[in-house]
Amino acid sequence: MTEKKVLLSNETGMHARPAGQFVKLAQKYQSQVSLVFGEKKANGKSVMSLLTLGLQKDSEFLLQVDGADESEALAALVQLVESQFQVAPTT
Amino acid sequence: MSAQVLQGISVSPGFALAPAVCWHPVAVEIRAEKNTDASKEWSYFQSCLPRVQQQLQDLIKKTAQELSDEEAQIFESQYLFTEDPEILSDLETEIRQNSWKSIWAVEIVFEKYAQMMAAMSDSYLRERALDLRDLKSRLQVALSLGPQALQQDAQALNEKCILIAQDLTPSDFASMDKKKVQGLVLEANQRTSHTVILAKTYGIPTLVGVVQVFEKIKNKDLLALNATRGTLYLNPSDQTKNEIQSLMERDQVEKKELQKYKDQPILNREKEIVHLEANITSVHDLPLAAAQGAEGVGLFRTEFLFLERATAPSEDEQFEIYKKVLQFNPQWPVIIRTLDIGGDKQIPYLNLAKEENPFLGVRGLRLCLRHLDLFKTQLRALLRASSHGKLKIMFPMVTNIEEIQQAQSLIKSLKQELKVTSDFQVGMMVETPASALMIPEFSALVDFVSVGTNDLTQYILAVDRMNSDLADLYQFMNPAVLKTMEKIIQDAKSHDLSVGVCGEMASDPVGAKWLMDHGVRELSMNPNSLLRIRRLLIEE
Repeated sequence: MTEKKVLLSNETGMHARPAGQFVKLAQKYQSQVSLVFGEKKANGKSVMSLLTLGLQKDSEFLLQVDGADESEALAALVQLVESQFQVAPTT
Repeated sequence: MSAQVLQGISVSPGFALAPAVCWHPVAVEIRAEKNTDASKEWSYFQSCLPRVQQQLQDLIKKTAQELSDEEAQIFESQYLFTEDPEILSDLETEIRQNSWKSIWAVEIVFEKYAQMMAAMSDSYLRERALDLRDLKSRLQVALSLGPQALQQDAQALNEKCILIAQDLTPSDFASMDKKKVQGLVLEANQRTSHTVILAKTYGIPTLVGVVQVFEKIKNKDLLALNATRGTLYLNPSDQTKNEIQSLMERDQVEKKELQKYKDQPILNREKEIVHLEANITSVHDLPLAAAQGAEGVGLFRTEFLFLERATAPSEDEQFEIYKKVLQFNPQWPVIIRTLDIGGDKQIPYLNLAKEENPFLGVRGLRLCLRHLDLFKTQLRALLRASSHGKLKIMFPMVTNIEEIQQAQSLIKSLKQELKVTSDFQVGMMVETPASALMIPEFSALVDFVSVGTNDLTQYILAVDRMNSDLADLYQFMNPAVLKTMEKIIQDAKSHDLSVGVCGEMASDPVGAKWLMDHGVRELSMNPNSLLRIRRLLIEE
């Protein structure tokens, strides 16, 4: 398993559109993706689960990826968040 | 098939010839019920899901085309929920392990998430609870109808039709393809309901108060509608068909003809200019208003910003909307009416008590003064937007001098707090007999008044305007109403108070003429009436 602390810096926080982008990207990988924020843990492949974390602008969360393609997945997801969701998920 | 003639009340003029589509809202029975075969129930659920996903895809496309990407996003997030692995696995657990029927499983799972979202501190996320509940009902309807569900596909309105409904919610109406709806016939007599207001905005010929319409009309029956005269023909004869056809053609020609009057000024007997303005409910009405020659906005009904949501719109959200309306044409005076609702409307986040007599209850300014947070938020947004155009703030449902004093002092203190230096006017609706009698006293406190003839008529005549049994008594041309109007106009003039009219009377040919002849120089109406009234008043 690999993990990294990530700062959410886009204006709106984790709203439906960024959450949708994140989930679509996460679903391209086999690895399990989880976000840990405070005492809550969310499934990174579920929009519902992501939204219930209530991540706002400047929230810092721990991104954990576990599986065969974990390092590529982590790198891509971190890039998406750090680019403030400007990077369209590569198809 | 014998021909039959049905009568109704015309609320939006025009003609149509098309087959009927009878619209029934689906009533789904939602109760805790166990399934008998869990695997079968789960595959039943899975077979119904694609139809809902297809519906959502269609809504995304349609909303993006008709309105904006922003509004389409509501349905995009609903779509994402239908693919969500957490939601789907929860549903599978409820159906397979807990043996619930799928309708009840959907109830449990979506309510759980909706309640989680409703408890969030972020107001945007709280709003998503509404999306989840909307999707919940959508799924439950699909599950109760089954995977084929031909019946409800009528709502997709594949062909041009005349829509028949008991009553129609504004959101159901909004989701329909308005190009396909050639005419609208409602059994309920709601001349001033939101759906009717929307139908007028889209220029759809509409009749209301057509009794027993469902017993008489079936899907695909051919209908000819003369909404100008209030007549609906079932299985019309060839002669009637030809008649309606030629009226439709003449209507088209007339619409072109009317365009000639668009920029011509109206002069009254004293050679003073009479201004025609538009009543609007959202930013989307502005282009139509401009195309019909509006000279301003005489009434922006802000209550539509507050309906069908989980929380009140924030100050910033309101500010952006008011700014857009003011900037649309900076030369236009824009009257923005503060929140006008009461206990007859369902706004869950306000926790309004049910009232015995909502029209005599806590509504309009009375309600705002009892919900100061809500009121101040709106006033702040308005004051911040005031630098972007010619703003005129208007208070609805005023009875006492003290109410206006209180509202004015709120504005004064907010103006200081926000350091607003731009000019704007403050006025009030005159729609209660009390305010009609006290114009001289009110004139010291406000810059303008606008008469809401719908409510004034109902209060002067003591006739509930929603009661279809009393429709014949509800008349703004009743002498008692006209006497009141004369007094309002005279008192306003002698106290240098500008007076406009924004009720139905202004868009009625007889009413508009009477108002002009009695010295009213600002008439505000739904955008589709503007050109007809302009021609009438120019030619008089």
